[in-house]
Amino acid sequence: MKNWLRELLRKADADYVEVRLEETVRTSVNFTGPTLEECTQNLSFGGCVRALVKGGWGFTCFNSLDELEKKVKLAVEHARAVGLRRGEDLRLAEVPVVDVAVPFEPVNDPADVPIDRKVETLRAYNDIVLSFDERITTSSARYHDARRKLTFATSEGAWIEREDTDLAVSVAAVVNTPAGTFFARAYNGSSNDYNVVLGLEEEILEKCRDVLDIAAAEPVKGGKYTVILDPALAGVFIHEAFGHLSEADFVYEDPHLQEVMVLGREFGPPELNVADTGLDVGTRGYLPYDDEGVPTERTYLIREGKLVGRLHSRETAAKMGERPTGSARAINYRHPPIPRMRNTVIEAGDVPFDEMVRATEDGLYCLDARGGQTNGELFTFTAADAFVIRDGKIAERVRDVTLTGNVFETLRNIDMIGNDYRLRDSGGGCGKGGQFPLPVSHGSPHVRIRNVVVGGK
Amino acid sequence: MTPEKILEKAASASDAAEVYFSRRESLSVSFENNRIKESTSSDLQGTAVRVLKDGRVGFSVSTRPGDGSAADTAVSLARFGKRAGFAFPPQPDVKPFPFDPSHVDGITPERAASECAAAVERLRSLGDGVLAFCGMGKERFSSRILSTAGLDFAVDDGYVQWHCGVTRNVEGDFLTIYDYRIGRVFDGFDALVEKVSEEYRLCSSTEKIKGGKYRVLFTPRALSSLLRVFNDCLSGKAVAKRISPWADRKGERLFDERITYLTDLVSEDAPFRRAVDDEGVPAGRKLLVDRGVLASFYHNLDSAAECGDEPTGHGFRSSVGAQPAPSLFCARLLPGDDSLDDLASGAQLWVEDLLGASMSNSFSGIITGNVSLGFTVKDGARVARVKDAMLSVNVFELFRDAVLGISSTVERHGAALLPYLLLDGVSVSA
Repeated sequence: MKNWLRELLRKADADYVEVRLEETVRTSVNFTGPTLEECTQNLSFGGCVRALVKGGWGFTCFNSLDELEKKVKLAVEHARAVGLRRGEDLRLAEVPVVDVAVPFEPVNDPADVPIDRKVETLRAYNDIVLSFDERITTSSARYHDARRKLTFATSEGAWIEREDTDLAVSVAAVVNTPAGTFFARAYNGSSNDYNVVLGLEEEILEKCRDVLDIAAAEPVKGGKYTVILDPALAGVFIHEAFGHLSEADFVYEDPHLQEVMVLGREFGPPELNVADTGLDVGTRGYLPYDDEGVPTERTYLIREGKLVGRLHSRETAAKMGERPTGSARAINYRHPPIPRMRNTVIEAGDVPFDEMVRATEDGLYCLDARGGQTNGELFTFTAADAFVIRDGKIAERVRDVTLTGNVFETLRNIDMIGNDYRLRDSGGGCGKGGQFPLPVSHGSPHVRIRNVVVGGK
Repeated sequence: MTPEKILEKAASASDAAEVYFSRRESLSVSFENNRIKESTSSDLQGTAVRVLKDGRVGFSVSTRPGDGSAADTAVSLARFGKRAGFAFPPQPDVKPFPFDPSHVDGITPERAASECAAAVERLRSLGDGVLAFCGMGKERFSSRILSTAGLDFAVDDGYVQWHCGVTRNVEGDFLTIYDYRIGRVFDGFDALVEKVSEEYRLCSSTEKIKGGKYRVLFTPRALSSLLRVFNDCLSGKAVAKRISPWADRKGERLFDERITYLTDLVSEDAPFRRAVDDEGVPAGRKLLVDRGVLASFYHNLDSAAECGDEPTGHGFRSSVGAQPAPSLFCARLLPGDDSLDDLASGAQLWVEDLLGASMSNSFSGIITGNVSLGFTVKDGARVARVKDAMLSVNVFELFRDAVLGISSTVERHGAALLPYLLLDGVSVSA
């Protein structure tokens, strides 16, 4: 198979061809209220071919591996039709041609955990929520793991075989009141260790207490605030507000944007260091090789407040004369790889959290995220929980806090970076170009930002 | 292994079984940054097996062609499964809608590339620094569901989707404008190009607004963001799980009497026309909110059984790998009596798109989003682009107390058919 496929790709009449073949077994367990709604195991099997001819891309995906030769030809035909109109002499950025079988070395392999135990662990978590207080209306406890076997080959001779795993758990307490329905959620995730699913009892109890208080809280008053973001929310902030802007497919063919995003430009205070890394083994953003066969790395995006890098595919790196960063990712065989984040982090500063709060006369302390979105310049994300800060002290809880702003202004308005860096994997994922949810991670210390617009009454 | 054989295999080890097979073949061409970028195709299929065994549901899927292993997995997992409050339905007394493939088959890669190239040429001429993007694709879809209850129903369908837009990213003023269409028949890029061009010209000036309460005109696209509250709170699953705050309020007047909301999966022009849902239950026209009164919820087999209601034919699978769930397609908010000009005359803001609205907690009724495309309005005319303004709309309250008017005309947004809506007292933070 290996030699046959490599030879097939080498002979293809294209500037570049790659094949990805995948087999994924996904286990899902999902309680809603007292009911086990879902306990399934699905097999996803398929592949894709991507070809490049004169700067034009062709892509085809399929479930049947029969007649793979015809599928390679089809992708090349697609690429040729595009290349004829485009007529571009594009050479992808050069990378080492690897021939490797990447060992998968789990700490506690979810594939070794019987499904009965997964169900019982979730059931126990779910019962904690349902028995906590009669004001809790219902619960949600979700778990998934996905074990994937991946084969990757290119016309350049690259060959990668690897297995990976993604797993996540999320347990929510739900309160339904005349004012609406409110959630608080405990979660965790990993790429190699089922143990992260275990021992969440205390955190779930805390979320049960939180949701009752959130439901009783007043909605936040809209306006401009000084906000302190906790590490979880600051991680989502940097992902939404800056990470997406750093994905080079946003920039590489836009001369105006290249002026805005010129390397060396000052984006934030000198204390601000932002990186995106695939090196953190065990995080959901861990990625030994990207989906173009490029080894992963830690890519600095901002160093001492200045733009120093961006996230590249081989195409965007070639066009911008920069180095590939191992950031081309596809969510599965049904999609071509595009520049994406892995684990996006704000590195630790030196301000203790207590000092940050004491130095904030009026503001909001915002915790955890319920998701975020960006259009490049604008970003918005919703805090899962929030408190008013008054006279340098954390005061009453408020709800329905959605933060928004201009990326460039907001980064400049960061004025304190905490010394308490924390990395936490969420149960969700990142969406871009119809590819959702891609496993990613975030890490950050507490961060303070001035003049953030908060929606509300 | 054929679907019949997989059904036989599943049935032999369970009390009842259902097999759902689907195949999607698609083709698309896309342009980015004023140039053709990519041509893609797909041929994807999968087989889902659902069984009822000892009163519980088992489910599994395989996308490996001809693979019958999902039958074994579904049977083995049924011991953990949810208690089945339903039986698989018998063959429905409806026929599949006929599908004329000629409109879809007529979209070749060459034609798609030519149509897109012409649209891009028109859009890039809007101004210096404008980067146009455009795409066009088609999908042929076939499915077959068969069960031990005697159900054997095949669906053959297809549609074309096309989109276009422009970006202009200069310091302090990033702008993206786009729109899309989906339907059985491609009717050209003209309407989209004209809409995007008009909005682009209106964005030549920007106006900062102050925070406060505004009269806001929501276009069908912006309205669809607000109607997520309806879609989520009316879902039979949310009702069954007591997540919906409307679970016990059927028959109550919750909204202005001009609000009538329904789904219509059978009208001739519905982009996803279906005679039955993905569980074989006849689909149809379902009134959800009738002149402000909460009339009914939408259900699949499971949620209907949990709520003690009848299934409504809304059990759809978001992908072949997903179990059927209550899903709302082809929504319609019925038009009102007001002309769009009259509504615009009463508006201070005209909102086309909200960034981040999808992250709001719809069960709290509050949709919050940054105005990614919107305009100030003076004397009924759009004047300048609004930026850096966050809208917060309490749908529960404003659809009850603050509806100033609903347009007499409707427009397609995706599969939904929606009017323009003018609301009073919308909170804006800036």
